[in-house]
Amino acid sequence: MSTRQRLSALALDTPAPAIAAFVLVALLPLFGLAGHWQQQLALIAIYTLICSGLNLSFGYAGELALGQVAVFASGAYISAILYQHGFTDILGGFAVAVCLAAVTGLLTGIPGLRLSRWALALVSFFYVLLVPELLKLFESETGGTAGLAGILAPTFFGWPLGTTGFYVVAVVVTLLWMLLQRNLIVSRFGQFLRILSASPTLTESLGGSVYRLRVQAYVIGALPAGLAGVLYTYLTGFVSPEAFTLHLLIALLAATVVGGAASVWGAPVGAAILVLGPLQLKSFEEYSTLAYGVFLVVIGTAFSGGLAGLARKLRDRVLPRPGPQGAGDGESAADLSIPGTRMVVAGVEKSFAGLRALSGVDLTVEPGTIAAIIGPNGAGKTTLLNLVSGLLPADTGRVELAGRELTGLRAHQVSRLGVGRTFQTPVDLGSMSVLEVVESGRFRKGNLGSLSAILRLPKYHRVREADRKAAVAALSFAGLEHAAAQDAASLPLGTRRLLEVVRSVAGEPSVLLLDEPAAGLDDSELRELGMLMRRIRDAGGTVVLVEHNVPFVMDVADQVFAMELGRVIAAGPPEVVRRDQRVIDSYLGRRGRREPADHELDPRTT
Amino acid sequence: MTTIWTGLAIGAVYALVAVGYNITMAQSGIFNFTQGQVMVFGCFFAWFTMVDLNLPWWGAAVAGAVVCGLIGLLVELLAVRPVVARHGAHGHALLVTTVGAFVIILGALAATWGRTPKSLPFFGGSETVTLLGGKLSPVDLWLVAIAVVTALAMHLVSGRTSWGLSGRAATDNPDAAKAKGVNVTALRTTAFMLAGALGGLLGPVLAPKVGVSVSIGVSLTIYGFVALALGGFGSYLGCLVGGAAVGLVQASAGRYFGAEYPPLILFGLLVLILLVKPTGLFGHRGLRVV
Repeated sequence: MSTRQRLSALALDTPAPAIAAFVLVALLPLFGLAGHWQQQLALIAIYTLICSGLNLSFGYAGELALGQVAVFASGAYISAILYQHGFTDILGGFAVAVCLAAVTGLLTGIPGLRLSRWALALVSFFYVLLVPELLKLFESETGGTAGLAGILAPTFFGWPLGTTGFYVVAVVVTLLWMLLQRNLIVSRFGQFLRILSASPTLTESLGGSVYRLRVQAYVIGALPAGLAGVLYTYLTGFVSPEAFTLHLLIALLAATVVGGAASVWGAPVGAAILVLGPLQLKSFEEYSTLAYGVFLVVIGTAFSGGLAGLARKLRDRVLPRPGPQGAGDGESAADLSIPGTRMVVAGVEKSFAGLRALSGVDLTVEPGTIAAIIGPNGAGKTTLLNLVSGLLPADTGRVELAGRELTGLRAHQVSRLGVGRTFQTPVDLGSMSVLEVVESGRFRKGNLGSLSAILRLPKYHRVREADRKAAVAALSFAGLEHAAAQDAASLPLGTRRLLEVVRSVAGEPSVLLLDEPAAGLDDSELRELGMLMRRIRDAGGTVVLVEHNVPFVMDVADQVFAMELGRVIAAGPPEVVRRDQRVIDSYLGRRGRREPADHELDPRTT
Repeated sequence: MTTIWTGLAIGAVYALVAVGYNITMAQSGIFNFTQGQVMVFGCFFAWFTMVDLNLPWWGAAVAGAVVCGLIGLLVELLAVRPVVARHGAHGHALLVTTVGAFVIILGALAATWGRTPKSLPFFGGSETVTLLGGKLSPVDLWLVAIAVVTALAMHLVSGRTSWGLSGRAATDNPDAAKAKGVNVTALRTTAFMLAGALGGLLGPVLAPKVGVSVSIGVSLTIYGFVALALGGFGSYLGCLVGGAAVGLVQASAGRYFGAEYPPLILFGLLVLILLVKPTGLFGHRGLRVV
């Protein structure tokens, strides 16, 4: 790597420039920054914290937390109350406020997140009504509508913190939070959130519990608002219900989307615009609400990335991203072991509103083989895959993996037990690179390791290294290592279907379920897919394939199950099934009687 | 008894908000965050037409229905349609744009008519009547009757007309409905317009009850949602029951515990119902996505 590359990697892939900027801001008092400006910058830091929490829950996890201002208020009040009782240490205030924020978040998150995204928005919005009433209810502690005054001069390990000291604490705390959040975003957890906002189903099938991820993102997003509350109390020296209004909530939401919701460093930009921008001017006051609303609609409909999104586009145009290290470093395909296990489906039945989709399906797939399920539309093939992978519950019957019962488990649990699967339509994952997409296939192995990711413990680096190696190996399995650094969304559809398979392979699944992987592939892509599947089988994998492309199936499968109206009507090696009269009658028709030479023939052309 | 009447009257208001939510939910599966705020707009507009322009109450109601129907149309065209086109009906981007539309209406009201509350006397008089031993004013009677009639009418519309039935098809499976020739976009647009028009039509009756002030939008939005969640997403009759329950809880908690308690108790009720019975009392279709 040349020095220039190294420098550009430092500038683009690490938070070094942001750290430098924050340190510079923290040092400004040395260069004679006036008190008024220290206050303005501290206010920016406070709003940055709140916005960055919104970024995490809304921008990344796709949950709109309208209770953020209430959490902010809880932090502000709790530190004021502590101060009144003689606990003036700012760090103690932070600790209590963070705990309170977590409780507040859980209280709305757990019920709200069981339902749709709307429910959470509304349940958390309820806090806007609750805050004034709660403050009135505990008037003896909170001062009621009058508020609490004179909360000045916090201490820091017993030392009184002057104005400048407080300013430095505010900037440093904000920077620390931002760094922790940034680490979280680039970890498995953060990647999961990106996948989650694109597709909950995919998240589950990659081994992530959608509900748990949502609650975690939402609760973690509430924490910085608690910190911000403490800072706010000591900045103004005074808290009252009037500080925590709907208007502030709206302004912060607008600042978040203007800065760029799905970005870590958009938050300080949005907060700075909020504090220093023209909407604070007295002459604009009447129209500021209207303007914030317009921002929300316009950015939501047209520029969903906000300023950070624009900056990212500009950067990608000016400075193309360097490829990931280690890609194509001669890792051989043999590095990837795929420990297949035996899968047994016995007596599985499923009805949808009285309509029988599966009426007693039995099949067994051995490791080291490729089993194909064929049959006309409506035969129940995809339903069967959904049942095995836990996306649908079976009415009766069992699914077993190496003797272990999968029936009744949720999709993410099934995935964690070793079932990998692909979907008919690859999910568009926005800006994730090919390598990142493949790495996500590994998430079902081991835990999320959020804590070690936030603190960058050695374990985090070890897991990341292993993920990356396995992903590169899986890519080279399919001959796709050259595309590692590209955006996955930019690949042609055929390659994206291959990538779905590669992602599952990276997770070293005990059983690999492929849902129509060959649909829409051209001849050369079909050959690559066949080669990839054989390599998986030869590496020991158990492969189950649902496919309409009969020549492809007959070519690649060791075992074929023909289904019709929710039943298996024929099973056996391809040459046996293709001559089965019932299969010919119900599905294959003319195609089945042809001689094997037709495997070059694409059924779409017949 | 007076407490019960008070509760039923304010409950009727929440039931009407819930019916408004349910119209867009049932026809397009989209939660219309702006509904409560559009109703506040309806109140302001009724005040404006009846006090400033001296229109009779029915003229104000019709004018309000037209204007708020147009607002519904604008919300759908500007804040919903472009997002659905880009991200589909279930993406989170809709959250921020509908909240944005809510904020725009709020901001427009504050900028045009100011933040000081106004009042509009009820056209049907204000002399209280005594019924079953409890006192209530004419506007309360009107509201309860309107809520019952509206919910029943919408219940029939959704079950008996092709518009209502296509709505069910479209929310169950938009792609299949599209394939069968259902115009999903038109359903959504008409639903937003109808919900808006309902809000505007009610202005002359709502305004005397809830007041003419920008600060009531939040409580209408939230308590209307609690009514919807209690009654059950997708059920118009459930809205009625949910609204009545919210109103009664609010009135009796306020009377027996103190003015600070109703929001807390209703919040507890909402959390409880979401945890225990997420489909609500009468809902057949949950909002469950996990």
